[in-house]
Amino acid sequence: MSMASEQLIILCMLLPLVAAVLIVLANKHPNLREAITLITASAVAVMVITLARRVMAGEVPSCICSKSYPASKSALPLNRSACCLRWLPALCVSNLGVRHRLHAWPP
Amino acid sequence: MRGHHEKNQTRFYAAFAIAISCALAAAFSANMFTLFLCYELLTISTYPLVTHSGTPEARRSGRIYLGILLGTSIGFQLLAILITWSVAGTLDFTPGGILAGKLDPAYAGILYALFIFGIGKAAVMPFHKWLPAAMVAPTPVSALLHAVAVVKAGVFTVLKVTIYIFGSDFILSAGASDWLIWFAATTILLASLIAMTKDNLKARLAYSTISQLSYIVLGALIATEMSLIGASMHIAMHAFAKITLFFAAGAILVAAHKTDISQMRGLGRAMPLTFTAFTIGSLSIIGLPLFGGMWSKWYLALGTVQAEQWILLAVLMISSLLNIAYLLPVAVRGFFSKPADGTDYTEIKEAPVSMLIAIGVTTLMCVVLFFYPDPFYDLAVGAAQAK
Repeated sequence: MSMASEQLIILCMLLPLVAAVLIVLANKHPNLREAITLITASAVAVMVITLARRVMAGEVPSCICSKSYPASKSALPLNRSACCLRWLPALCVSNLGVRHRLHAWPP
Repeated sequence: MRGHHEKNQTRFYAAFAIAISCALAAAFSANMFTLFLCYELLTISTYPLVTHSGTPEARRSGRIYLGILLGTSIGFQLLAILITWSVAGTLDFTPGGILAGKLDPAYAGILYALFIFGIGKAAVMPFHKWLPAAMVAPTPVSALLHAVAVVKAGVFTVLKVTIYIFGSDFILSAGASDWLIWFAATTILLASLIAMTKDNLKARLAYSTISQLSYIVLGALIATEMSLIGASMHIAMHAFAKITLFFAAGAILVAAHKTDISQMRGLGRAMPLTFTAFTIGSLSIIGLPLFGGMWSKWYLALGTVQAEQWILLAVLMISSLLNIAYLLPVAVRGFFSKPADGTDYTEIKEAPVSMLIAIGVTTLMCVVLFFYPDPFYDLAVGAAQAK
């Protein structure tokens, strides 16, 4: 069953934070630490690519994280054209983690 | 990292993960306030990466890094955001902008300048020194900082402000970027000239990044549809090419323990795959056909023609020639020169397989994006046509 786009947006941002905690907890186990990094990076890359494909198919996902202050919502806008620009850096950043992990893999 | 026996790898990877999260959050932001928060968190989360080695030089570089990025963001960008909020009553990114009809065009240039110089991550001169200072960080951090997350957050913010805060029509009608354009043009040329003087490979790539970022800023400032398409595409094209170059630099460091270009004569014959990847990344940065970078530079050039900015077209052409001058000699000397001191490279092997896989993926993308730029082109068109 596919995830809703809103859930994917939140996961894309939360998953690396969770991974940061797990990486610290796995401090004494380098191989586990690298595995966490690689799995997280791969998952984030897949999620961002999935979201980008949905946007390019015409979907305009939206997600409001906070309404504490008038300007503090983290959301995708209601207009598709305003969606497009965000995916350029998102696509680049999301798969950097995978490539970096491979590059820094122990010889 | 392990191959180079780096210390504090846990802290490194944790900070790396947080930085990725902040970069994505910045990309997903729907308004300038959220983007500013994520922008600042990205600066703070990458500080441990810059100062990773803990040496006095690294700490000094970290102070420069934080000082310039936080100084510009709080001194200029935050002020610009407050002014925008007071004028427009909103900070939401809106196609066509939120300032037209609300801001006196006479002040548009000043507000736009506050944003451009306040977005220090875009490294427009004179607020560029943080980028070469940050090269003291490990090479994977340089790939993060200088190719993708940090610098792209900067130029992405510039494009967001241009398209969704000001609106390209308002910028053109108000002449808001008429004089700012020359800061970007000067940065393009000066950074390329400085890159030519650097013998340290990472330093040369750092100044190359400063120059290439200003291509994107210039495209935003020209604000025509073609230039905005070119600027948006250059975010992706430059990212893949520059990551390839930094990964190759890291592979050379790990396999051959060399950092200066003058030490790399003939090294290409011992590390042919790494240097081939470096060559392909260089050709993409230069903007030659068969490599993805050609498309973004093509549209940027079309943008200058569309705006009838012939001097800027000349700037782009001259800069591409300078790109050739400071990038191709690395590969050419690597493959065709003899080591200056008669060193025999028989003991130096190619980079580890895992590194080669990562380099191979980004190198392949440099080529694939020439034949299949559609995903990034479609996104760029969607953004450029926002009205």
